[in-house]
Amino acid sequence: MQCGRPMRCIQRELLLAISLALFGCEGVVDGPDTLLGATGGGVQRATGGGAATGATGGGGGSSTGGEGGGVSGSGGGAGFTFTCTPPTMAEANIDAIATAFEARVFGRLVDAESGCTRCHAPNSSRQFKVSSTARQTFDAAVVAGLFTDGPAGILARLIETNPALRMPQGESAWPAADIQAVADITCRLKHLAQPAVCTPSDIKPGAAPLRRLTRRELGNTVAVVMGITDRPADALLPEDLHAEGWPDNDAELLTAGSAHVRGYSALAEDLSARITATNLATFTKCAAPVTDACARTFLTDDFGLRAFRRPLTAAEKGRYQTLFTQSRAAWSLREAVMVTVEALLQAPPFLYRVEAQAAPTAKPSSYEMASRLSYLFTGAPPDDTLMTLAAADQLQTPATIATQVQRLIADPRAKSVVASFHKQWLGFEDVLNISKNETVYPMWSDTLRPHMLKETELFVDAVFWDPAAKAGDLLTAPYSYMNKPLADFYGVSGPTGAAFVKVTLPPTRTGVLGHSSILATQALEDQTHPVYRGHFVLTRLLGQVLGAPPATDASGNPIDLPPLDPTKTTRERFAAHSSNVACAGCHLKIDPVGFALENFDGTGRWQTEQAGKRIDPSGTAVAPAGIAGPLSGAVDLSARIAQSPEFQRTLLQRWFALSTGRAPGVEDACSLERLDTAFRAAGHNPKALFQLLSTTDAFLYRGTAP
Amino acid sequence: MMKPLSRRTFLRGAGYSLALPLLEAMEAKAQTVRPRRLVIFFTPDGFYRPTFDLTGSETSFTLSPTLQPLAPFKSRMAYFDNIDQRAPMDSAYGNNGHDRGMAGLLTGTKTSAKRLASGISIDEFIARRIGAPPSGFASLTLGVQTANVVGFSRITFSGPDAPIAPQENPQTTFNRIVGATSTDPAVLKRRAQRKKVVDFILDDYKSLRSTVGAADKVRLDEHVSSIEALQTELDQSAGACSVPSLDFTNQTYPRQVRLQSDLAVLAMKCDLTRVIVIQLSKSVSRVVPNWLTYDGGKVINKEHHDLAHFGDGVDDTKMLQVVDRWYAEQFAYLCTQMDAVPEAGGFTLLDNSMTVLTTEYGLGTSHSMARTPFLVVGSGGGALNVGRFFKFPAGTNHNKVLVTMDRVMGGTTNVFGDPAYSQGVLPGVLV
Repeated sequence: MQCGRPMRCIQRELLLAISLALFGCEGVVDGPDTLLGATGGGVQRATGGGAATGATGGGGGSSTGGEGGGVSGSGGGAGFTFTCTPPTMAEANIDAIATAFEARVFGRLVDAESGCTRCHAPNSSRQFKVSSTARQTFDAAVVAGLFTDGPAGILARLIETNPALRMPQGESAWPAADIQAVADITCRLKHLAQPAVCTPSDIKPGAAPLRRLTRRELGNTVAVVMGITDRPADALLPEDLHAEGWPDNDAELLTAGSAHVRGYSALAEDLSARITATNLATFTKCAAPVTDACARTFLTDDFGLRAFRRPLTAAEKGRYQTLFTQSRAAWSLREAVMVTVEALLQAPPFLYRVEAQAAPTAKPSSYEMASRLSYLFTGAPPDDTLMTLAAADQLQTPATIATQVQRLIADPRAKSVVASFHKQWLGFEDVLNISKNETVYPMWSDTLRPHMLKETELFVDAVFWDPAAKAGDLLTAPYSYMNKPLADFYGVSGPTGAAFVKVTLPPTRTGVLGHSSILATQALEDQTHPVYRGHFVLTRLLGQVLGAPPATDASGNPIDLPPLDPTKTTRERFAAHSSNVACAGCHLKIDPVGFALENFDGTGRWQTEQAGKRIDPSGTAVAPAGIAGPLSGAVDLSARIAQSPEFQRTLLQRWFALSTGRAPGVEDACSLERLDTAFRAAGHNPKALFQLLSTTDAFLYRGTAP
Repeated sequence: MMKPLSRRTFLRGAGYSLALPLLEAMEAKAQTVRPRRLVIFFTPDGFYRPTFDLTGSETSFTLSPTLQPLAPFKSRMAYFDNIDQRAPMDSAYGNNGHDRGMAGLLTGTKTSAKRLASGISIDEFIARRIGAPPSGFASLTLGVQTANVVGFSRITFSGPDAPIAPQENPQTTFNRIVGATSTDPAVLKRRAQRKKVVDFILDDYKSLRSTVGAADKVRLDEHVSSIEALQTELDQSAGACSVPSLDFTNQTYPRQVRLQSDLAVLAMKCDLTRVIVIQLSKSVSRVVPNWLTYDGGKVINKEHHDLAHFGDGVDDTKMLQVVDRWYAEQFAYLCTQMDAVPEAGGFTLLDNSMTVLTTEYGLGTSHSMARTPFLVVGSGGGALNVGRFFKFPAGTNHNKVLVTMDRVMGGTTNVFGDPAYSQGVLPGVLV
């Protein structure tokens, strides 16, 4: 392979592979691109107790220092010092660290202004190369260093074995800041590599952040607490910020700024305004004429209980009754009720899921467990059954919890939790916002968009709730749901009217990667976009993290989408990616995956020719390891994804995040491993995975206050 | 001495526009302090440079086709060329100019691991320093279809990894303005009740705050400070200001943009706030500007972001020019409305403001954050040299723009954002 061989991504892949092998559940990472050392077996993770060990090949550099600071080595003559700090929870995300590593180190190599390729331009006599031997030595050294030396040792090996780190020769040394960054990042990786001992008796719940209700949860809570179903929260509060492909309940992102606080105030006033002179008795459950004493007791003991999802403490009752009494002194009875209701609806126990602080390995109270269960499985506050069980302190054993999970998962609201999860994960709801050039795509009509959304909704629902389904059926199922307009669009026969019916797909199309809601969304108005599609598959379905596209190529020229050319197929136009050094590293991974979907046009319809040429969907997937190898097209790609460890891992990761309000961190390694084992034992049934979320340490124990 | 209101007309008519900044500056020093405002008007996904860039020298320059709608304000305009967003460009995190540009634009910081900012944004920094005007609010952050995607949807931050959601509901902002300015007894009573509730719940948040971990505390702090801001607003006695009725029905994108601009002007006219951000759409804008046509009537049917890449050559660039010009027109509309609000000394609200048009990167095609556009209208109450096309040395850090904003708003800071990229003000810009 030439210079453009995945110079950036391959190293990143290596780091990810090492880290995932240690941190994730799968033991072996191997394949043409991972190059984990001479033994060829990759890194294996000791299960059931042993510390992590690494397969080593070359290396042999000596450790020149320990962890924790001090002058530890030199790079190209520049002395440097560093301090090794363990990763924080936020940083314990391997993706973020790998991104930092890439940007800091490999970004430099190809940066047009200051990188190595400035002098060592592609196709010049000084072309920058990493020979496969050098790579192998380097990679093995890193692996060895991770386990045997501190970061200083790793750094020494890096510099010793990798010519790139000695660059630029004859010029100034590598900037100390960059060396520091390498050391720091490597150090963090080492920390990630440590917690690999899983024993059944260990309880490691990880962090339990304070969680603000999402807008959806708030709307459901208002519906239960106030009996109001017109969802005023949706109009009055901002949308919750969420990371693409991740659930919308990441506690760290659920902040409450000015727009929220004003929204909460407006929401509380909108709701209290519905208490009228006429319905005051009904609302307070008091006999007319309503007395102050009856209303006051109702507010703290009945309304307050529902709003806080637990009884008010004596101190809280005193405070809210004082608020009522003071308001009553100034205003009418109805207005005093309104003011007290507004306060309860803006109080922390209403807007947040507040749990008492205790030892991380203590169990949540029964009321806290009632909320954990109801918000996870129904996205709503505890129902009467849960509240009754909580009042009797009956939610303390795995058995009673499991019984409730069985009950809640049959609640119709569980379906909407599952539907939202998939929308956030796969982003197919975006189909409602797209439009197409109807000259290029005469079969397209904007009126099809809601049908396309509905197809995926129905399909996801069917796969998820089928007791015999495997998670991978999301990609491989040979059926879908269509009505006549949609079936006509796809060219599928069967449906005869506006109603959606189950249809058997032609052999060229399976699963969600055959749905227009995804194929048309991950495309442009008048053409396909293999990069969008490849990126979608790699990031959302396979949990890969891809770096930033460089702004310019190695010669400093801006990189643009190749112009439409009636004589070329889309694939031919995108060929520059793999021949351009700055792009090739990542695009060798992305593009073959996108090309495999080229038989679906920009709207998702089947196509076999473009520019008078036959479309070639075949290629070789380079990474991740689980899909690596020759690809013949869309159906093959989907099958490959469905059986890949990376897909299963991504599922675990995203569902785990939904259940905890945070991405999995270092401390969750054993939880994830157990979850993976149980998921496997359940035949990779998606509904089983959902239920299993109630069995993790993070769910059953309080966890650490972050 | 001319009559105040005709002074500007006279100067412009007589072709003395170049002398205006100096005169304004002299007057500013002689007069009582003019209330200064900072307005940041964000449009998404850069501009098409060949039809956006100004040409000419510092004092004799020509507006580009895209910027023609701003021709009436040319003598009161300053353009900052060669401003790079170096801190986010050098960031280890972030996938591209989209998320880095959004996070860095107003914060001058490197992108965080969460693809957000590593510090407070300049609008929020200034708002906290100067506080709310009597009966008003420290700042207004308004948005139109900014969506909710991490890294692409937020430009204002209260601190590291703490994005501020813009207020998208114009009715809520309108109610807030009415609530702050009405003298209707029923409104005043509701306000007193609101105050009672806010005072009460604030204590609940403060006591919860003392029981949680450090990371949770950071988030609760933001909640607490937002409640305190509301409390302060309710504490002030209402200042009467006549508020026109607005039509909130049928809110399409162009209509929402106008409404938010109208509300911003109204809030400033009633002197309820001195710091405003208006964010239109988000990076990777999925707005299809299909109310616009190009090439003699062809409807624009592509998403703005796809146009910004203009991969398809001629047609895309034609469409993009129309879209760019539409955004410039919206900015010009805001300026025109501000210029229609007379203030003391013969100046207008626009004269007393630093009204900034900006976007998250300099070049749509490659998402490069080099040469990020910053176009200012209004001298910020005589603080800025205007009628100028400032060409700074290539690679000037945009932190200098942010520091300059703070200086205009009466601050003294010399460093804002990442200190490694921040030293002083833009040279020659301040009077």
